[in-house]
Amino acid sequence: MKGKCKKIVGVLVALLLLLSGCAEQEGYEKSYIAVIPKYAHSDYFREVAKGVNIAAIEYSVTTSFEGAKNEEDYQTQNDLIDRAVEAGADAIVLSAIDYNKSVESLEKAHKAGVKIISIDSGVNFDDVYQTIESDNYETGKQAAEEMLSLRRGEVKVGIVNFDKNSANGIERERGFRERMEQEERVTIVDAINTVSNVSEATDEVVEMLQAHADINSMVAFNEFTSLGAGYAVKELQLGNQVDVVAVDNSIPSIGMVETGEIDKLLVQNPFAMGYLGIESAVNAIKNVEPTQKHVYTSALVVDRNNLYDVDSQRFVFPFD
Amino acid sequence: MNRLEKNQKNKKGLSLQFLVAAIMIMISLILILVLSVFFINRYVQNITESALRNSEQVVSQTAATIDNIKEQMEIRMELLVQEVGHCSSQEEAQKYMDNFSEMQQDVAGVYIYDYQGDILIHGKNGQNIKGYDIKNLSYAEELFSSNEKIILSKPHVQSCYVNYYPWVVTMAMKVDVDYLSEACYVVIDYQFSSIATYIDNVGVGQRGYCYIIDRYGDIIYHPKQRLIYVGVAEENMDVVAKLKNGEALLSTDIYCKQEIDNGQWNIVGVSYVNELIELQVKSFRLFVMLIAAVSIVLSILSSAIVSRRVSHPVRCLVKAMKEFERNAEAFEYQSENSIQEIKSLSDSFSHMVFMIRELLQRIKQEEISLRKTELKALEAQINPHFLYNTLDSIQWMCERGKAEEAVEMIGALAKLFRISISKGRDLITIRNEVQHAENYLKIQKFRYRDEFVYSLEFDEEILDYYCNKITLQPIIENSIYHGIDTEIETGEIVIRGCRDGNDIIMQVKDNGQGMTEEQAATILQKERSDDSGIGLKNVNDRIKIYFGETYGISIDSELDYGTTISIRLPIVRSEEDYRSER
Repeated sequence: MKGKCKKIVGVLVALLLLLSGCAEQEGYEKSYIAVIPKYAHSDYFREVAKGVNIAAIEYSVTTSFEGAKNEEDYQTQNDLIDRAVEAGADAIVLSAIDYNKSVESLEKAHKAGVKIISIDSGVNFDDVYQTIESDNYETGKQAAEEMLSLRRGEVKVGIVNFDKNSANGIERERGFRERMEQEERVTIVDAINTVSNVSEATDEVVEMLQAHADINSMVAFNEFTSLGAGYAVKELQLGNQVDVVAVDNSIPSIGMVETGEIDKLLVQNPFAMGYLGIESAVNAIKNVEPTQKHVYTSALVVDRNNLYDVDSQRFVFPFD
Repeated sequence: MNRLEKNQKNKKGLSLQFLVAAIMIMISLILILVLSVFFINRYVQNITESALRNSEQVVSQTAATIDNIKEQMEIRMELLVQEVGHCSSQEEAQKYMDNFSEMQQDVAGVYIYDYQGDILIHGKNGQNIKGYDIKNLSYAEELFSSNEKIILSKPHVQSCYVNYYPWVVTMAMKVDVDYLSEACYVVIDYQFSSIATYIDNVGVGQRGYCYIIDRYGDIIYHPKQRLIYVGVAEENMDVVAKLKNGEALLSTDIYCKQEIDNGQWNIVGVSYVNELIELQVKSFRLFVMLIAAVSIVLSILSSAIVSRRVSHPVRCLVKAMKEFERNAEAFEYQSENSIQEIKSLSDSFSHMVFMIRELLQRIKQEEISLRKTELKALEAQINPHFLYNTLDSIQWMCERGKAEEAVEMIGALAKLFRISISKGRDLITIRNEVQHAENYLKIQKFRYRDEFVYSLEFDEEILDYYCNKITLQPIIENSIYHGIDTEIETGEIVIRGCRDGNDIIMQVKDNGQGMTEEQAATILQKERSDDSGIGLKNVNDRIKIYFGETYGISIDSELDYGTTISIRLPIVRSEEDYRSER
């Protein structure tokens, strides 16, 4: 009996030491979160990066921020997803270029136990922990409202949108169109999809304006399209004739608000998306149940009147 | 088990093993609980303390750095003003300002304003002033008209350049120069981004950050100011307002405030301890629970061992006692090797068993003996030889016509038997016993005539005391048959009875043939082999059984001279005395 007792005691003590060793280790390793934007060097995504950094410092996590070559290149994004999984990322925060074409890589990541958070532009994947985006549909609708407030009478619209397959673009246009369908005085004359390059976008908008001289209002749904629309209006000197409602954050757009090419600017909160993306990732890693599947960041409407309000400044102008 | 036995079992009380185990477990649990609560509290206290210290340190360091930066800004401001004051013309001033602008990396713009805030001169910085009418955010009338020597604005966006909107803080000083018609302001727009980046990168503790507020509690810069504006994040401004300079406060989170520059700016550090604490406490709690579990197991094991060593021998003892209760005679006890106290118990038990068995044996023997003697006494009441001889004598007397003598003999015989029976009682008065002896002697006298003579001398006082019946008669019989029968001379039998202290002595003395010492010894040992009545042994045994070892018969005899048989009895005043004791 005695010998047996000693053995049991010995086993228990060993177990104890082992467990205490494990318990000690738990708190000390920082989580690694890979942030994969569409394109890392636009003003918009640089603001996302700022939000990511602030959150990373606050939550003591390491992050990486790397995007594709342009806002159509979903293949590079998929490569980045795969690389992040190999590098041992605990979570991936993704702004998907293509709503459908990244699903396979995401599935592999999910199987490897990596948490997926979607920001800015959604993805067709059920196991996303949380999606943080501006309510794109609402944004489109809001753009419509603003456009309607700029003039009485007939509104002839030209829509300038970006890549056909991007979820946020699709949603924004849908929101815009559905609101406009309710107004009899609105006609949507033309809608184009441009590439993510300012000069090419500008050329395409110029083409559209020249083809349809009756367009008196334009809506542009992201940075490149907004700048394209703005520059086109400048080029054709249509600043007073054509109302432009743009969705963008970049400095030149803001300049154009002051100079009149853009009449209403819907400024989003990419900083919030970056910050909340990391916050969400931290919660996902801790296996906290998400309170909502969708978190919406709101946009601010800026025009020449409120551009320099103290709060607008903070919202609109990035630090550098 | 019927219900009574079952009840008894329940009322038996806790088993020793259970009790020992329960106590040990309780003690160790209480100890562990107390210790772990104590340690967790201390631990949490320590973590909180160190988090507070850490907050204070970080905030104070941040404040020092920013204070330094501000100082540098002021120094350069004063230098610029001095130089501009020394310039003799506007062109010179322009050149100097261009230089200044180029050389100083963190200067976003340097100007001279007039009193209305219009730009008179601006240093070249590679940017283009906007041509149209702008809202110059670098000029605020209320601010500039204050009496401060050096004016410092809150951070804002610089708005006077085309497509160039850096965040700046504006510093201004009044200046009076010859080459400009009115006194005006020298204004420097310092890049705020470096301060902002610095603040952004300050992490406090495991999770936390810093921000800047003015003396009224309004945010000057907050890393998350974009989120605060849209309500996604909040700052607990009430708590912060209550903070004094340099103080760290713990409500649900740690807040720490440090002043810069007389409180114009204040650095606030926020740190979230709870998560940190929770994490540590959780792992600590796990650890403690593990120890508790191990401890319980160890307690159970060791209590099992202890109680085995204690309760097992106890249980064996209990079992042994039960067995003994059930069957005392056949019980064999082996004491086991165990704890001292238990061993001593079992040894005592062992002795007790031995003694009880001895006593039981003795009682049994005595019972047997008593029954035997009583049986014998019963038998003696109908001694055939004696009766036969007596009746023979009576017949002879009747044949001879000696009627009176015959009547007397018959009477004596009747009385003899009456007393013999005595209604079955064991004790009779000495008076009756003497009568019994007398009747016997009368009858024998008829037979033996002149062969012997007798005398009875009994003290009056002892006649009412009690004694065993049929005590004297067998002794007298013995004297007659062994003493007188064989002698030629007339035998003499003297029967006496008197008190001796608390005892009674009865004596039967004859002058018969006597006996040797050996005979004297053996006569009290052996049973009479013939049926001729109770022997001396019988009388002796009965006396001893009834009254004890100190009483009984003693023989004093000399060969050819005679025998004296003494009977010692206690004074028995009533039958009940001895009956109840029995």
